[in-house]
Amino acid sequence: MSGQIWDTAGQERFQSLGVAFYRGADCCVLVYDVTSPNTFRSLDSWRDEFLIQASPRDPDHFPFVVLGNKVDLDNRAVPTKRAQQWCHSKNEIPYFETSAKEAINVEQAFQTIAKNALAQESEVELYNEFPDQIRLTGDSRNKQEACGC
Amino acid sequence: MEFVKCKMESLVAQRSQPTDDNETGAFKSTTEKFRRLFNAPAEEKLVNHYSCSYWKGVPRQGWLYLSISHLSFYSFILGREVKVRLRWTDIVSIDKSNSLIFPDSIKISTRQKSYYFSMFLHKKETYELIEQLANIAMRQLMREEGFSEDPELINKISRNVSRKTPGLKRDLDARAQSEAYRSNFRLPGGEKLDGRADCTLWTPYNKQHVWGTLYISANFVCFESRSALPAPVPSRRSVRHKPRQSRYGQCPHWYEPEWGGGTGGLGRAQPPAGRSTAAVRGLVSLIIPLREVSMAERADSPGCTQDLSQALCISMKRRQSFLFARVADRDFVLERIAEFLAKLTCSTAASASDRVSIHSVSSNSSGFILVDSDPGKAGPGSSADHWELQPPLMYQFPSPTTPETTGRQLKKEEMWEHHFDEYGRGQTMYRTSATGLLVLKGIPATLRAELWMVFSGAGHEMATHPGYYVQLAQRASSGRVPGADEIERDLHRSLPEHPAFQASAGIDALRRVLSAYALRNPNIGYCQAMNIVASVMLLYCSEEQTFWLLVAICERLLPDYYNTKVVGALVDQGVLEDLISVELPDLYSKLESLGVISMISLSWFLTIFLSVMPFESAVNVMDCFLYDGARTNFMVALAVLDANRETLEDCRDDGEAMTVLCRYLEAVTNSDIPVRVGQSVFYTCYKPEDVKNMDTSIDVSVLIHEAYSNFGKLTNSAIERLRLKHRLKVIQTIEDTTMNSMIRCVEAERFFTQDELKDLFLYIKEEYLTVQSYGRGGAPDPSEKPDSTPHHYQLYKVDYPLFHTLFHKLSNWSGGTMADYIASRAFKLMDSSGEGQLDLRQLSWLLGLLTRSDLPTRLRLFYCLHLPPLLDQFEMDSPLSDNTEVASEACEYFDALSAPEPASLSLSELRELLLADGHRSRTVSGTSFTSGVSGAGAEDGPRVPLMNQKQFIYMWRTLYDMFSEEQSQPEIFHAIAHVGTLLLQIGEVGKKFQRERSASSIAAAADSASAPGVSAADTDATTGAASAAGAAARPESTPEAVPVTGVTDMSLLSEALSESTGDERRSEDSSDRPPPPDPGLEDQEEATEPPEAPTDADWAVSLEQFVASVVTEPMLVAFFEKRSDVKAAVMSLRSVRLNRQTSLSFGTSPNEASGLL
Repeated sequence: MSGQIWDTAGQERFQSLGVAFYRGADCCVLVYDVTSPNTFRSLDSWRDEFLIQASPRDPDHFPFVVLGNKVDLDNRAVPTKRAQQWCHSKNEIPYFETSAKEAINVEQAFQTIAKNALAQESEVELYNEFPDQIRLTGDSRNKQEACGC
Repeated sequence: MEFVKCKMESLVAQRSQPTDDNETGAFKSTTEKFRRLFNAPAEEKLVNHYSCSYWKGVPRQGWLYLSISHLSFYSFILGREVKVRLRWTDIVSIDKSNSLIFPDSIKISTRQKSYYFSMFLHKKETYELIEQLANIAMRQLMREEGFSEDPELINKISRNVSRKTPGLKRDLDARAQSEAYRSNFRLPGGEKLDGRADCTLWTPYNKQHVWGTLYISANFVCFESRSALPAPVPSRRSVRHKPRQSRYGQCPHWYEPEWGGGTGGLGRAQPPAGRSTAAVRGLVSLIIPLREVSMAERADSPGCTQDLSQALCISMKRRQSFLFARVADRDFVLERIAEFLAKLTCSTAASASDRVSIHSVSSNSSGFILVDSDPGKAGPGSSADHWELQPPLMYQFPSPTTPETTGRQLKKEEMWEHHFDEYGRGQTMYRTSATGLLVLKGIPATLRAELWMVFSGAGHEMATHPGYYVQLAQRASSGRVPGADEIERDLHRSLPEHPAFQASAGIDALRRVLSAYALRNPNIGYCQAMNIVASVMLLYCSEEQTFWLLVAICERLLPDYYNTKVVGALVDQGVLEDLISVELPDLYSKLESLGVISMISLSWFLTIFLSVMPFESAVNVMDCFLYDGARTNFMVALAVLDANRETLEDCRDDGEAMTVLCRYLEAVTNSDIPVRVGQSVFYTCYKPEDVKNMDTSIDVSVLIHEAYSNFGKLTNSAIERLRLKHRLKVIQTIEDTTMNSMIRCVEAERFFTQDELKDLFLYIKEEYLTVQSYGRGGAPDPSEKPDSTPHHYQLYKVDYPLFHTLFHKLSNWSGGTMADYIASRAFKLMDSSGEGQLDLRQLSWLLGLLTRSDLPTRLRLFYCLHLPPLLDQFEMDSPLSDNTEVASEACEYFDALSAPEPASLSLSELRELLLADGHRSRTVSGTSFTSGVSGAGAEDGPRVPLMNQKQFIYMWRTLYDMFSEEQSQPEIFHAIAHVGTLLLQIGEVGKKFQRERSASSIAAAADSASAPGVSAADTDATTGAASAAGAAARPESTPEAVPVTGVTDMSLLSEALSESTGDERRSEDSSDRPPPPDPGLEDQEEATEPPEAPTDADWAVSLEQFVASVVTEPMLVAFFEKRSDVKAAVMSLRSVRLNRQTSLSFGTSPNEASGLL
């Protein structure tokens, strides 16, 4: 098995290209900077953006992972509790506090990402086998709910 | 000859039409007819009309009218009328189609349906005009400049065009030709083609006269060959040459420079789509900037041969001269050149003394910051943060060399020196296929700066704008720069491995260049990828040269690439997709299934391969790109895909394909450079060590060679055509995305459904575009754009007149004479910026509160709209005068916001109060009034203040007035009177309560207030509410009476009612619905105002009392709970506009309904 990790382009003007980049993703990793509350606050919009652009079949259960990065720094501004609460409210998104610089928790985070992505992929394949049967019932309702958020 | 003819024509025209306004009588009458048929406003300019058929079951013969904002069709055959009217901005695709059902037709599609037109007399011309107009509309959608007539242009090109052509068409043609002329010769923006003439150019290097065309504009004289002479055989023929059938036409050489008339649109001998007709091109081209010309003169020598007849000699200041012969209409050409030369010397002389040149030149390029080049204004900070212009970084940070690479460099330099000797040097060099061949080999590093400036045309602007860059950079260093944070973040990500960008020299220069550009062009600001392009250029060029190269790339070579939506790059993705499908059809289906195409071109094109290849290799692509334009990017992209064809076929998913391509590009080497220094910025797939071992490794010169030999037939004009097509698609997709995200933002407010918001949005957008396209509303000033991209919902703003229209259509408060006041106050309430504009979110809030909120919320809004500061003293005092002036008056209120009275809330507090309540009522739908009231009471924030008698009377007057037009409902007046009475009594109770406590006597005031009231209503005050209804209905029957009597009559009548009927009702009312004990009354005590007649200072009612009283009357409850049908209302608004102004988009015209639907 091999995984590909795609980083989205930086500036907002590139966001319109998201569709191509998000398409077919098995897991979405949202990373914020624990020293910058703004990056935490924008997690919501990034999650929405992803769900809208990628439009996964089951948005409520699409695997996300949230990483609070730069925990090696002293000037921490987002309390762990707040982040955990947010993740909890979004259908139990796994949350890790990491430091890319010090390699803290990176391994664990990517283990989870890979595991969840794998689970998602097998689910998608299941969907692909019976595309028509699934679409009839619960699925469409779920989609509508996601649009409202 | 043309010049003679045209000149004569124009002379004749001038004489025959002394009041010449550029149009023939026939066209004028057509315009008249067009306006009549489609009810078009005078602002809508007709460009041209064509005979054709519209397919609706059967072909219907008629006329296609192309105007600036619409495509319209009209047919009237056998009593059946067919009208089609499409807004350009709604068109998503234009295609030539030739199906069995619709033979040889033009297909126009909107989001809703497709329209087929055929049997054109001038299909090509029609198609091109349609395409051009649609693209102008797309630019308008992207908030670039809309269309405005350029009288100068009309007159210019009209010299060459039959006067039968309508003026606007000539303008558009001229525009297209000037654009082609500029892009062909890489001239600065704003250069307008003045005229052209056939002639020969003496090429001293091979001692021949070459046939071609001379182009003249205000600052340049250009020549390009389009000769019938035998083509010279290229000095070196490709061994790898593989002849390839291509739709771009056959060409004998594998290298086909663009200079040679690829843009076909210029010469009449080469019609615009003349890709296949161009026999020989690229023999030679020449660009002569007039600023370097010392003299242009006749060069007649007695007894000269035919080759030298009608000769013209242009001498340069640097003792160079160019000889043109057999110039058609030479004397006129000479006259024009002399004229331009004279103008130029004037302006340069002027600029030397008072420095106007920069202003005059910059004013052409729309929206760019003009720099006052007066050094005195440089600012006091200039000495504080002093900096030097950075010379090319490669001298300070030289790349490592080996004897072998140094030898190669020297050899190349030698070849160029030789080329200079033969063909000249600088802007005025003869550009031949030999030049192109040399460029393909890679320009030696030492000559890059010079040649890049020459080939890209950046040199012209640098020469004509001395000091411009230094000024901008200076300003950037001391002032605020849009996107400064983003620039700062990327400084260390641009060629981070190059030592030059690990030192302050490189970083500082990069910062200055990027900041200066962001200041120059706020439309672009800073876009990632510019940092990479700029950093590579800084290695080879000086700081100032880099800046001007960046200008050339961002504004001319890669148009729209870096703007806020990267439209240009998206468009070119589509173009590349088309090219792949033609050139590499097998691969196309594979790539399409993988979905890679839309991903690859972005970083390739945005950074001109600099970010995906080692930069020393990519810089050779840059050489070709600056010489040849965008087509280089496409050719190299195709070559890269072609080279990886087999590997790509085996890929299973998009990621794998991307990895293959990354790996390949990472491994592109440059034999001129010994050690690899740089590293890809976007994709880092492999370390340099790995690269060495890779068998796929290819030298960049080989790659470029492959690109040019296999795909060299691709011309810039072909790309330009494809871009026209894809721009429509890209921009309409962006529009859809924008609308959806806008609706998503606003939908969260839950007042309206998605569909309703969509309708509302489309209506607002259409209104906006109508205003824009007719030029009534000025285009937004790009320099005023905020740094950050505004939220989607802020894109289209609603001004008061538009809100007024919506209010009247949507709200049931819009009856009566006071409605405009309510509308203006409501608008003022929501307009948080105070700019007289609402964004979509504010609008939906306001309309939601007005039409969708529950009873308590709506009553609260109504109540608040009658409180200061919204209701100011002036408004209450002024009698209702002329209603037509209300709108303008209302606008004045926004400017003259009176200071809020001490006891009242500020506008923002009021707004918050209402919105907070709106939120609550939305979550608890169907809230009963009690919960609404108690909720409001429990609130922590500011409370809704009490209302004094004067305000109350005013409010009640408004309420009466709302129903004055509904004759059928006397009961409602009864209800209003009843509630009014009740509230007046409640106010009295409060007053008495207070009076007892404060022991103050204001009975006199109360008496004086009631006395005239009784007399006014003396006729039958005892009949109570019924008379109130009659009295209120009275002004409606005699409208003139309203302004004068309405005020006193109605309010005092209410008072009279309270006096007369109060006693008997008070007991039952208070038992029925005791007014809640209100702590607010105590507050009121402190905030007593000086008593003023006839109102009562102590008199007060609270919101809670108001709400509680209103709910006793079911009719009022029904009125304040009514939900209006937004969809129907907006629909009718859109159709009204159609009839009024014909701004239809989707074919819902009543006329069309019979014919089309």
